[in-house]
Amino acid sequence: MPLFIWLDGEYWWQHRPDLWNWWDPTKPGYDPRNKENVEWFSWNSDDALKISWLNWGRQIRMLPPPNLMSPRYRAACHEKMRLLVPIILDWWKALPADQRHLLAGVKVGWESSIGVNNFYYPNGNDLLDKPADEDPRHGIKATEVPARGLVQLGYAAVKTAGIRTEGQITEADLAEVARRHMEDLARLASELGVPRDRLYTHGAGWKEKELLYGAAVNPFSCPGWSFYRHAGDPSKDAGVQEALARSDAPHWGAVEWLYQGPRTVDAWRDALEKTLADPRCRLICIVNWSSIKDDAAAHEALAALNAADAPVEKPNIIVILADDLGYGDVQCYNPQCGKIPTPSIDTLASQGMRFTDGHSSSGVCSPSRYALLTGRYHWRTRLQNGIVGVFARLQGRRPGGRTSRAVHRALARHRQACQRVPPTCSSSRLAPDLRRHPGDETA
Amino acid sequence: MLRTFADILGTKLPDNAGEDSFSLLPLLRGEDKPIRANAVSASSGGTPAVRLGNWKYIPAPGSGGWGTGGDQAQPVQLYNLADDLGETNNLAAAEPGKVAEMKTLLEMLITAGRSSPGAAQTNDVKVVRYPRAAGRNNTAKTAK
Repeated sequence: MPLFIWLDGEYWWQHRPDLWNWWDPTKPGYDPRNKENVEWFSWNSDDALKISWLNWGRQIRMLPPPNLMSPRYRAACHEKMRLLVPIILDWWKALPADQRHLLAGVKVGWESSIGVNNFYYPNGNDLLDKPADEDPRHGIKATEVPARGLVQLGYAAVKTAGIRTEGQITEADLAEVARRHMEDLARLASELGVPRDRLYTHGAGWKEKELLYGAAVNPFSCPGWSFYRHAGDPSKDAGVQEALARSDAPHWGAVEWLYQGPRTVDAWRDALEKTLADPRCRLICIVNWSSIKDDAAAHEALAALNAADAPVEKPNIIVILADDLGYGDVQCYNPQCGKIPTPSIDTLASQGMRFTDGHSSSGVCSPSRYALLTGRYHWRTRLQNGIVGVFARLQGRRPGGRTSRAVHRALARHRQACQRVPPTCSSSRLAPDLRRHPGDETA
Repeated sequence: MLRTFADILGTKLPDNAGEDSFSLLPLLRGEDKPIRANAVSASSGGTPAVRLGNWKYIPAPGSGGWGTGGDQAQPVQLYNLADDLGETNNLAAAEPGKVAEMKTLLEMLITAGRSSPGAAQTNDVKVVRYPRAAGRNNTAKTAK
């Protein structure tokens, strides 16, 4: 079964009182400076939280939420990721090629936000010393951004980030803090070697089109969101769609997904297929498994989906083979001395990969092209030195000869494998012979 | 490129295609392990050069082409590119064991008809060997 590994930085810190205990000298980790690592209910760090509440089906008391922008909190997240990510990658890289899909992805953040999954009642700190069953029960109003109907939080993170230090906290302030938190984790995971198509964030939104959806988008990862009310059809989630329009990531994920409509096979199948209908959606992670583990309809729908022939992806591959282009002619390979602006190639490189240790089969043109086109050393053909004779045709001889026919044979095999032949158009000295080859109408 | 594309498309190449092609897909996916153990680069005049790790072996003197570079003093050239990227210090005489190893590697790459894993293949012609034997015909037609 493929693994989708959650490296959440929000809910792990009960074992790090050295980061959050700022108020109790009798308990481990006490340090008044820890106020800087937790959220506050005003611009004053004296109003740091000692407690918060979470309602995932039932209300429970939680530790104070982390100040997402605190340097010490960030360093602690980094420290653990530097430990865990290499373990994941070592395992993944050791898998044989036909099992590489077993790493579905690595996820950073967990509905990263402020004030929803850690909310705070008025005078909440005073409640810490009283029995939990006396806590208020009315909970948050999740759609009322930015305070969600309760005490406004976010002052610590917004102030530490330098976004605002006084006045009213806005929805945009809180979304920006969540965005920076997830981008920072994604950047580190990327630096540690997690490729973008295996790296997801975990964003969320509770009010239609709220700005927080956009916080899941960054240049290092694919965005991901929770889907509950729109699990039946994510294309109707306007906040997600707006965020996707601004994402250049190859994929996105329904990283926390649970369909809660009618418990029939058809309804479940429809929800799964509508979620996967977006060509960029690569992942559904179904949560609250215990709620459906005995649900025959859900299982039957999943089995039917898995049994259906998965469409085989046939990407379009474009090879740009330039004639007489020197390594240093492209700016991104030679930013100091390159004389020709190459903005488009530089953009391609910035979004992809540069190769800086390349080798050519030959120092001259036609044999090196033969090798590039066929994946075979040119010296296995009669082209033992020099280039294919261009003037041979004028002398009544066939240009290219056996070398060109070998290229053609290789391309024909390639066509059998891929149902397409890469069109060749160039001064390759191999192309004229390809066009003339009997029975071939494509090259 | 050929094996990279086949890998992306999830197809297998037949034994007689892409005999010297390796898939770069692991690199594109972010891995950093080297893909090839060796590579042959030929000069315009046809002289091969074999790379194995940091070692480069050229079974002839000089540049093999239009240039004037390369050591002319010894019949073959061996460079350690780790500390001599400019190929100024010919170690052929000093490292006879390495020369023999590289010579064997080149001969194996020629006779196997391929450098990628798979069943041995035939070359289209008898490949010219270096160092060149005096009087040898360059374009012998029999494949070996």
